[in-house]
Amino acid sequence: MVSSVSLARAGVPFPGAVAALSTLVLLVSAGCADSGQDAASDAGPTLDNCGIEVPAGEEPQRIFASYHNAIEMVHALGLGDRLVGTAFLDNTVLPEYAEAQEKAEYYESLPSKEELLRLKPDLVVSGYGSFTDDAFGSRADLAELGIRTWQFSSMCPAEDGLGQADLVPGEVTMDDVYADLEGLGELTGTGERADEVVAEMRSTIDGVQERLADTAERPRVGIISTGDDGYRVLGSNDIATDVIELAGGENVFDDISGRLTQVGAEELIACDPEVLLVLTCCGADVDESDADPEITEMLDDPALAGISAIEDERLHGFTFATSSASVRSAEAVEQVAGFLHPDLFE
Amino acid sequence: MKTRPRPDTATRRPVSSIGLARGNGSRAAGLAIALAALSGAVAASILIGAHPVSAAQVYTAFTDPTGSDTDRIVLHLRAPRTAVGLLAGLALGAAGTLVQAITRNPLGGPDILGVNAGAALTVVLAIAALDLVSFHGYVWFAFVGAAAAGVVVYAVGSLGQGGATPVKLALAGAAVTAMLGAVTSAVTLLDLTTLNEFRFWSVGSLGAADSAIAAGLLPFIAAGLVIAVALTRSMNALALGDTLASGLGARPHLVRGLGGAAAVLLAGAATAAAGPIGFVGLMAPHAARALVGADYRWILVWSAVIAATLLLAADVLARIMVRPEELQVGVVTALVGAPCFLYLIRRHTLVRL
Amino acid sequence: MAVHKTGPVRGDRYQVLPPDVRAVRAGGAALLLHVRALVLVCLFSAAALAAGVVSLGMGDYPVPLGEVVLALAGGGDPISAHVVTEMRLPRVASGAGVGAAFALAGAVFQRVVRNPLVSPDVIGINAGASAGAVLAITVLGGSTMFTVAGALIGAFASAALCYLVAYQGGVSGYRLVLVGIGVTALSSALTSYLLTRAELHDAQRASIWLTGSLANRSWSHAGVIAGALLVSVPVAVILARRLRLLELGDDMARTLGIGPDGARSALLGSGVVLAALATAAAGPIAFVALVAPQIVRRLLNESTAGLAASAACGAMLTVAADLAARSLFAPIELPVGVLTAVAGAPFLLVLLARANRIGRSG
Repeated sequence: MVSSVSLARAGVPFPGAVAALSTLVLLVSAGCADSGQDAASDAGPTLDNCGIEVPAGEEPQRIFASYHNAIEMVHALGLGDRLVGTAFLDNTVLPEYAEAQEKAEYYESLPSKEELLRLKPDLVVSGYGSFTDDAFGSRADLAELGIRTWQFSSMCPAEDGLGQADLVPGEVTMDDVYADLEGLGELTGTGERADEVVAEMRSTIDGVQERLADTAERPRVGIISTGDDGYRVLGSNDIATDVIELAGGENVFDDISGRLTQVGAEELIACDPEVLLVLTCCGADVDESDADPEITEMLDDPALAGISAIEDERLHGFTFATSSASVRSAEAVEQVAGFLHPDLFE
Repeated sequence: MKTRPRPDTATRRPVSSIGLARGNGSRAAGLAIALAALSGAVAASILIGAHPVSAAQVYTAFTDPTGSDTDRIVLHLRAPRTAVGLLAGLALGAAGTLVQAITRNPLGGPDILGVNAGAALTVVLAIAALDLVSFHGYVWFAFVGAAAAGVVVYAVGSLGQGGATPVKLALAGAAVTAMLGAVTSAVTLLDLTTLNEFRFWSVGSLGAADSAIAAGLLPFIAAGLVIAVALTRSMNALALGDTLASGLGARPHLVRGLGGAAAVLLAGAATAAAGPIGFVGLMAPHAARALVGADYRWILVWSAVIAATLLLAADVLARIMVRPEELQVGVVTALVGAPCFLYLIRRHTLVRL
Repeated sequence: MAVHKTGPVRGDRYQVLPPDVRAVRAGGAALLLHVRALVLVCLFSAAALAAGVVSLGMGDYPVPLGEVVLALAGGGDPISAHVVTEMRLPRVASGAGVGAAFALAGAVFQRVVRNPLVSPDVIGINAGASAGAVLAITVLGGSTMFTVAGALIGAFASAALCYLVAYQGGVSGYRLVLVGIGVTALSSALTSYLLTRAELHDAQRASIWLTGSLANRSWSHAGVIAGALLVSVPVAVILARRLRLLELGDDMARTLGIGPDGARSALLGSGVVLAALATAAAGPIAFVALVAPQIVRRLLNESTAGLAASAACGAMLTVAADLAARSLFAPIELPVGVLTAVAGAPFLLVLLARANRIGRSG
């Protein structure tokens, strides 16, 4: 790891010894860090989540949820009154959850680990990466302290303790959302409610599909986030593509992979979308209307005047929360279908 | 117990015959080549991009625009970008030369005067406190912040006896930069939206500013360039050390003051237009010095031309290297410029400041 | 200066000791103790210890003093014990270790290069470590070991690259510094690029690391820095004697048969190792390497390198700064690097405003 040659070149005396010693120290420390991996695998029902067995015996009574998708999923399962704390909302919560949301402590970004412990949760649900050493600690660490954890299965890190490191996330589909709902429902004893929510989501999507059955039109859609120099777009393997296709459209950025990849204005002109959805983020009080100034700027920009979406003025604000894989995804399909086929959806 | 005095760079005379181009004839010829390279970079910046554009189309776009996609791209995307790159590059090259002359510090780029740190802090405050999330909103804040930081650094560096000596200026710059940087970090860590906006501004980009902003900053850049050119003889004198310089009739403190003001104007305008692009202003004077020796009359011009060429070339590369995605110009200038810089250091005699 | 004959004299060799220095002899070996420096070491260490103890009792999770003592003794409520012994104690230990390492590296650099402006960062260690760490956080998931390893590899890679490019039959300081700038620029560009490519949340974690933070330090971090100190401190101390002789000037040193360049390189090397490992453990904490040696220099006369005192001072500054950073804006926790920069910069300016010449070549 530390080359004794480079050390010698840097003039360090006894470079071989130094290299060996420092490597030894690192290995020993790593070994110490790993020693907390023994999960309690004794009796009692468990659920598998990202390769980790989560004890499922008792229903958790004090839930901490981090990231918007996890927060709303907990609310959707009717567990809003068991929430002791939430963190990291991307946008305003759905109106039906607003009251319950007010009651729990809210943190704009992840609180310190000590703060989390102060809230004495027995379950931590995370939508993105919370279980890293510099956030809440690994899931094994928390398990030792008697705190159960649940990670959205579409965002499993490669190993416990690692973060959301993928620059190109894997495929995320609606099925992942359903799986998480059902798993979390089973863990928290709200299996029935979970089934209801899943059924509702499926029926919403089926309803949209029905109405789209007769139309052959598939408008080209782009979901973008504006920046100073170019745009960040949602690409092919993001759930946004799924949502767009279910809503009867086509993702104009199909040849770009990833979530929020940077492209230039010329690329946008070349792709020529017919409908543009402009993302808004990040804060507990940010909603679609926050995209209005950006939409106005784009409409006035002479460089973009040739794009179909700008000519027809088909730009809409779209919350980041709705574009992410969550309980909102069925609603997202409906909303996008409304933008793409306004004649079919009132 | 006395230590042996180390060779004092202050009293070493600059040797004007060091450098690849010796003698004014070859320097002039070399400058013509450099200008040709710059023109090439300008042309490349207008012609190259995701959308193929030919020279004929560029001509019609300027003379007889018809509202086609190509016209729009040339007139509203490529031309402003090229103009910003040209202006910012010239400004950064000149500012870097000035800074290295007045601080006699080879580690110095324009940001040693705290310009980048000042701009960053005001941008971050504008985003966080005033909710100004678009470039057009905070561009003038950046300029004001850059200028203010430069003034503070100069004022602090002039404290104590002796006025603004190179060492004190460098120390003041380092201290102020660190302090402003710390406050900037604190603000971005406390407000996630600000971090999200700031991290893209802080890599530098030529596409954010449009023609209006470029036109607005042009007077400041022009003023800075004029002052810089007027100071070149005095900068040559300054390189001999304060005592000798005064003996030659140059007034060191006045020269440093004016030079500092010009550097702040130039660097502030460049940072406001294109974000903090850190490496160009530092490298261009060294490259110029390696090529034409130690005469600041030549170094200034060469440095400005080299910086502009590097910036525009880097921007072209940034646009096409990872198509359809895009890199930021600040990343590419270092990726491209640093190896060139290292090569130069390795191969050529270095002229000491 | 009076000549003190101390102990048995062999031939004409007289021992010349400056005032304030005592020699402790045992079986033919002698240890020179600079009394003032020793006092400073004790004072600074005591202050560091005090700040550390206060730190143990402070935090978002309320742990009453009695519980703290119980936890240290091994008992008490499991979560309280975890908080005290697995979270706060390693944080304090890492802080002290990192502070000592940075200060020692800074002292070594400043004494060898004889310029108070020089910090180990001049050859791009911070930038290289930052690039490596941000790479680990944004691309590899950022577990403790990946981040520490990434930072280490980055630091040594950039130092090595710098040395390799600058080496042309020898290393001129000027060339080394310029190459350092180039390497720093490369590393910074990489860091900035990675920050724009990362998910916002990863970018935030990386940004926190980049300011220098002691949050969430575990015993792994403390182990890394302890290992660094264990290895580098003896090296630096053994070479400190050579450092004293170096300060007699290159001529004198050469007469005494010690190659000044070799000793300089070795010392700088040990400084590089210290700075790199400290940065790997806690990120680039600003100004400790610059400020601590300066404080010590002002309190001691210049007959001793003051390495131990600098290290103790650095430890105290870091632990105290971390304590302040955690409590000033409670419940918001600032990274320690923010505080050291905001407090250290004015200190530097005070140095400036004084009319005295700074160091010997300021």
